[in-house]
Amino acid sequence: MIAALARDTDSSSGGESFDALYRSCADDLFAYVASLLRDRSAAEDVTALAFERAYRRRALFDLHRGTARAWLFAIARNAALDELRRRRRTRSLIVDLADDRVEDADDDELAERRVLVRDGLASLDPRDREVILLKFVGRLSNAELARVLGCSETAAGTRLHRAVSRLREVCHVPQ
Amino acid sequence: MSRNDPSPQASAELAALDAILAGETVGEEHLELAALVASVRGTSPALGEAGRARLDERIGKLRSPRGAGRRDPRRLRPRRLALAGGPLVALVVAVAVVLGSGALNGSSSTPKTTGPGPALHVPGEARKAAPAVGGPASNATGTGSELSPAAGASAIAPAASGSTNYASSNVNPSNRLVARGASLTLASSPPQLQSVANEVIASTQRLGGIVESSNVSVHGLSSYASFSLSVPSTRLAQLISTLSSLTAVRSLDQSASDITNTYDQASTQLAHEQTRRKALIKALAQASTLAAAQAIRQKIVTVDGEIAAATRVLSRLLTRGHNAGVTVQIVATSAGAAGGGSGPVKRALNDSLAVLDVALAIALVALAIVLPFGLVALLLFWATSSLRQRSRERALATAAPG
Repeated sequence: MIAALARDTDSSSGGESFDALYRSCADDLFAYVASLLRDRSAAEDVTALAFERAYRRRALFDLHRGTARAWLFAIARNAALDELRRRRRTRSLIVDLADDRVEDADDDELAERRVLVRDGLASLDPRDREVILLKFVGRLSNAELARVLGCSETAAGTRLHRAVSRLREVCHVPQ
Repeated sequence: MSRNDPSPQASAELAALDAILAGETVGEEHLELAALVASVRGTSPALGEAGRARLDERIGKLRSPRGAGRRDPRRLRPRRLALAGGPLVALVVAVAVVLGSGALNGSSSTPKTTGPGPALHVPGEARKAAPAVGGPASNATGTGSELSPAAGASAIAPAASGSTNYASSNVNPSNRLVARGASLTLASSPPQLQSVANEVIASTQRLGGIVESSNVSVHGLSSYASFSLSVPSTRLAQLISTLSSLTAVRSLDQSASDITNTYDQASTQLAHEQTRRKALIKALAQASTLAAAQAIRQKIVTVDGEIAAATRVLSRLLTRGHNAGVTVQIVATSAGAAGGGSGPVKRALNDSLAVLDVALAIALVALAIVLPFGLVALLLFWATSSLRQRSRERALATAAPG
């Protein structure tokens, strides 16, 4: 799929590879962007924008520089941060997402745990929170994480482990 | 181990994390981590059916002919315009610079013009050379093995040019008398030398000229021929062109000398002597004594001698003005060097090299223009990218808690 995307032009095979990328990444990408922006509508826009940019720039995709998933998340991250910059300039009102996933939890213990984790995430440094989201929600490998964050794979692993440790601390999870 | 290298425990946890995210089973020691992953994923916003449908619709539009994935051809983005227009402008400027510098004129192989007159541009080959007449005397010279046989007489430039207005005839409209000469060295293969020599004579006679002297010696590679020709000045250019077309031209020297003043002085001298003679004839008629008459007759004989000498000088000058002296030498060379058999190929090769030379010059000038601008653009691009990325990181740092 990835190699096909690298060769993607307007051919049907290229279109199919893009479709496969869309199907495999759309949910995780939206979850990551929405967690960053805390705005469902803006997250949908940014997610769509990321796919549009990826589609337009598919000829520039270089397989040797990382996977298509990492490339897509990097595009989405930049778009989301641009949206945050725009909001900071215009001081737009940030509409918090409804905690439907927390409320949807069937048992009380699970709901309580999710609230604990959500609050723990909220208390983290934004950079640690982003690493957690990219790893847990985006399901990126450490190499892909490094590509998105613009650092080495070792540094990405170290940052990730540190962020997970801090999350455990704030959630009172034994290490 | 570097400062960033994770500890073995951290490495094990990271490996377990990858296994959890891949849906694989992990050991009991990592179950809490698996629960943490599940909780984080459980708290992350889901796209939902409605959101999915909206996203599907937008992504579906990418495939439509007028979708977001298609660029509007009418929309010219500044970056694209700069990327496409910059090199184009540089190329146009480079072409203008190269053409303006005269690179297309092949200055490296251009016969040089010497003499006091203005520089004469002689395109390409010596057969196209014309004498530059910029003053009382001048000459144009073309030498070198690069000279090839002329293709036709039309290549010969007019015999004289410049601000002094010399005409191709001996006396031009402003009554200038110009003596012209040329020296031509041809190269021929030994078997062809005799026929070339014959053709030199025939060509001279066809143009109304005469062969004043000739010397032809055929002995293999030491074959040699030389001619001293005289042709009407008006046909000098034509003769050079014709001779140049016979075989390869090794060298060509042309000269032009203004002899008007000399002619005028001789004319004045003649007129003076003729006036003096008339006066002596008149005095002779009025001579009263035999001795006086004898003395006057003696003077008339002397004056007649002066008149004859002045007339001869004038005649010689007119001959020099009317007829141009041409010396032709033919030297024997190997067939390849003579260029007889491979003339067109050699010319084509020379032309190709000239084209490549010009193309290289244009490319170099274009590069010289593009390189500084490209470096500045690259620096600006790098600076703006860095600033934008910093700004993004700052935006992340100040983002609302998740």
